[in-house]
Amino acid sequence: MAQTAKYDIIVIGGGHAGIEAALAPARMGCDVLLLTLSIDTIGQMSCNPSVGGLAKGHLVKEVDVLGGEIGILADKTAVQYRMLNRSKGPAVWSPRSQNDRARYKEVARKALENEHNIVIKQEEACEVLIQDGKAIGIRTKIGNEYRAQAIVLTTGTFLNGLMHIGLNNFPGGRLAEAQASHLSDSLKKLGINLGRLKTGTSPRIAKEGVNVANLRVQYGDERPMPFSFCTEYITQEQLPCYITHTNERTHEIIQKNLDRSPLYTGKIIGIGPRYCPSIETKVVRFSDRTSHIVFIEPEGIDAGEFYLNGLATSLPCDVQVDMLHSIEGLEEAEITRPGYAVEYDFVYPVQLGPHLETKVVRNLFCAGQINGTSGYEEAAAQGIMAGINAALKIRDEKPFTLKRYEAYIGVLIDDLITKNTVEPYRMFTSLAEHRLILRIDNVADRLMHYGVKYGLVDEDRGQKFANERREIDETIERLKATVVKPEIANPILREKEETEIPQERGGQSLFQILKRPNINYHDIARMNNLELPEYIGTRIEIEVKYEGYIKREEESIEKLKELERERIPENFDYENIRGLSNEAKSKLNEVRPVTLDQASRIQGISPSDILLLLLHIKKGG
Amino acid sequence: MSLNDTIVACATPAGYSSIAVIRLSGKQAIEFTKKIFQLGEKVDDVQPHRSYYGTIVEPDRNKVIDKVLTAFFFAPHSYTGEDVVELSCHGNPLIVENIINIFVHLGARIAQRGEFTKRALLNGKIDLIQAEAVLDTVYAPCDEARTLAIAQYEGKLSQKMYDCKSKILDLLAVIEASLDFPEEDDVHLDNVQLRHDIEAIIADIDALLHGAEIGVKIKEGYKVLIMGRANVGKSTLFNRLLGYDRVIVHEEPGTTRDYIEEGVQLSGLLIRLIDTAGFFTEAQGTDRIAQERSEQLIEEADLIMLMFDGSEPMNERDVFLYDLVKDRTMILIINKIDLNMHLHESEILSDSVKLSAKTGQNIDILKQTIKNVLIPQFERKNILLTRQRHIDALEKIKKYLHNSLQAQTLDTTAYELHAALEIIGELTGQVARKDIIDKIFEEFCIGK
Repeated sequence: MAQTAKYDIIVIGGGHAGIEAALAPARMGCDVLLLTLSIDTIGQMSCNPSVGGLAKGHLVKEVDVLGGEIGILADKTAVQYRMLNRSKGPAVWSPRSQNDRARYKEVARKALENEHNIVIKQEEACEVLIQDGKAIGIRTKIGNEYRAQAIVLTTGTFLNGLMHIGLNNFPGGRLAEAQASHLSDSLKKLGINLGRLKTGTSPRIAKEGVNVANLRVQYGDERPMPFSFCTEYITQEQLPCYITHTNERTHEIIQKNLDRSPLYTGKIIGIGPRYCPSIETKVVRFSDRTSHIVFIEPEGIDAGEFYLNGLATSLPCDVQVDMLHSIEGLEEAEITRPGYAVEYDFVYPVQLGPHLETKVVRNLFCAGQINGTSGYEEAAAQGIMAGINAALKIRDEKPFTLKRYEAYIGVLIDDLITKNTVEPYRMFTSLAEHRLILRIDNVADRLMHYGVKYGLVDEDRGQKFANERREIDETIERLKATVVKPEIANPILREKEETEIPQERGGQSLFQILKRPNINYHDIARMNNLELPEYIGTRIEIEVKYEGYIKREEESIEKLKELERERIPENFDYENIRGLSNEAKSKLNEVRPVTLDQASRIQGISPSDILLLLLHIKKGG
Repeated sequence: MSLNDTIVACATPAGYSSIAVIRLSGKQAIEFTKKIFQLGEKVDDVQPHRSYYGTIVEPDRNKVIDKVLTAFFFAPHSYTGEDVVELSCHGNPLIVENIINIFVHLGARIAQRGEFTKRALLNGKIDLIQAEAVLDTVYAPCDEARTLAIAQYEGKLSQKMYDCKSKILDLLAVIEASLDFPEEDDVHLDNVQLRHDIEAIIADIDALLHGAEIGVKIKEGYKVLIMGRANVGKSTLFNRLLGYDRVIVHEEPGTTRDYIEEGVQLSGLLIRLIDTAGFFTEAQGTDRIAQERSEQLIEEADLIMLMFDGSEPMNERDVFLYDLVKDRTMILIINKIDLNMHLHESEILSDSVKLSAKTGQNIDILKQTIKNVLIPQFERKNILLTRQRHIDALEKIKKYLHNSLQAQTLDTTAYELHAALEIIGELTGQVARKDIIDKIFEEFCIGK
């Protein structure tokens, strides 16, 4: 028997979920062992060199105010910031950054290494050790055994990873990286059901040889807004992206070579991400389209490569070359790393409870791509939640969950454990039914107190936020109390094409004026010589303009809480309910929802099923 | 309440009748029936949707209770979606009670109000609007109300709501795509088109709401006021329309001091007919309270029938009354055409109905005129709403759709459209709201 060391928590995998899953409990005072296949690829961005985007940007900001790392890492390495959806309303404003891939990895590893409660070891985990239905440790490939009170699996695409480039396939989790096959077998033995998913990535090309002269240049925002509450300034150089398009010639090349595509010849059995399809899927599925957009993204400040976002593919190398050469600006491009697809095992997430602990093995947690999600941000969000809950579990404390109306993280985890994803799950704003209150401007209001509670957000940050909040509240009160005369307000209202205040009215409060659609915080400031930093002005503006919606959301949440209070007894017998279809019974038995509210979101469960449940639960089961 | 057990109730009114129908629903409905029902003919087993003649025999004592006809319906092809038995026995309350008691003894439970329909709803056989329509079909007070209730039961209103829902969903699909895929160049939101589409949905809802006023009236009845000076024949017309002598008629003017109200079905409409009698007459004098009540009567009336005496020239009192109600919905009536006509045909009386309340001449014309005035032909196709619940819901949907047009940003446009969808769900019962459903079923009688 080789060495046996004891830790509080073992985290398997050093990706975006693993980083958060290790840091959170370490910061809460736990001894954490992080096992990874390769220390050199901790924090690797395996796909796009970018963080955030629609709904994903929300997740990053939520993880940040909980005391997570992804926002800080993104800010330290961002080479471009863009706020997407600026014109479509503050609830869907979504920050996104382009990042320096190499730097990201570097700062991620440093963050882990600087945390003294974390030990990092490069070993392949092969077996989860169990005692009385509880995870107690890990056995590695070289025969070491590590004991711990809780295990968090954040294995990404590495479980039985199978790479595809054309009709060639070979074991691996990322390009030129080994995969983990033994752990899958161990999980199956424990009674955990595994499925198979597929994801793909785009080719990367040498910077020289790309002719951007005729391409649209996409610069970042002039005044970048950082992800993290901790970041004050962005100092590193900012880089542009370029936009090009596929054309009929490209599509023809793809069509002609589908017989060499692992996707279209049955080589790949895993289900791919519907919302992030490969270029061959786009061409086949939308055959009437003659063009698809391609973003040429910088790999980093010193990097000699570009990433081609929108061209994920697993076609053979020579086809990838032909395809690229048919695209404007890429006629001379040289592929440095081909696109590829990877198939991997995942845990059907319906086997997890709301704290991301598996139902069959206690103290075993899963987070990230292993749960069927896609994206760094989704992974980080689960990572921090699994990490916090692992720490709480071993301390025998109340677990931590977020509601759907509190955070996108709440929506994400509830969807996973309730709806049982069968394709890679990606976060969208449309999945959040309380979208109007899950905004990035109020993220600290929503969640920072949890970060403070669990000791993940230090007092300085907590204090800084509390001060800001007070300043906002006081300003809003002042806006309500300050009435401006028509002669002061009207010139500005006229300029902004708003109806003027009638002379006989005597005046209107700044609060009411700010509610008008064309009026922004600067206009108000001009009426009253107010001076406040830009970010507070924006937050105030949103809170004032959204006041009515926020009230309505709050009312509907109150109603929801009633359903939430209808808890379903743990061993509730669905078989006895006459009127429930067999399908509904089997779904309910699979998910075993905690509340009626959760039950109502299970696919295939109808409102009348919920009424039946309600009637039976009231009766006492 | 539970859906686990088998329920039983008498579906026909209490009291003596030629037959009574007892209904069972639930998984043991057929089993229970077989225990006490001896088939008159020899069959291997009962078939669904067939009636069988036989005898009800009390299980232990072998005592014959009645000769009955029994129909079997197998789940899910029944009213409730469960196994259902309908048993027609002789309409003696003693027999009914006896049979129900036997079923209860076997393990059935007496159904609660509306429980059969509630089960149909919970089993997905009908939606909430249809469940309400069942109630309205049973209690329709007039022919027009019954026609409306059946249209709702057939799903005509539900279908309109589902159409509305699918239109909103189509819009949301585009909006959500535009919100969640801002960088895809094939996601284009045409704001003008969006506006136009939302306005079209509002127009549909407006049409329904417009017809709702009539729909509710059809169900609740119209208030129709008979007015005219003393001795013009108001009470005679009142009795004529009712079809019996409700009011004592005297030659002496001002015989009836108070007003009298009766319900009657005229041309398929429920009419609350009011004989204003002593009101609006000289006899009323300057009594202030009576004055106020008269004004209130006019205010509340859906239709005013102003009568003139054709056998006498028009006097000041006639003109006074005409001026009082000339802006209201009204029908002018010239009575006593069986006598010599002395009334000058002036402009205002040209479209009047000329009749004799006493002989009944032209009464049918009056009845038809009442209906045509109350329900204009062009409104008919939009009359589908009959309940305040429906109207409230549609008003809300309309409000949210209006809000969506005024929303400043796309995220809030989407919010309002989602809010409208939620209300449609509550209206049809697709969004489970136990409070709403309980309230509706409180109105039901047992056995339905």
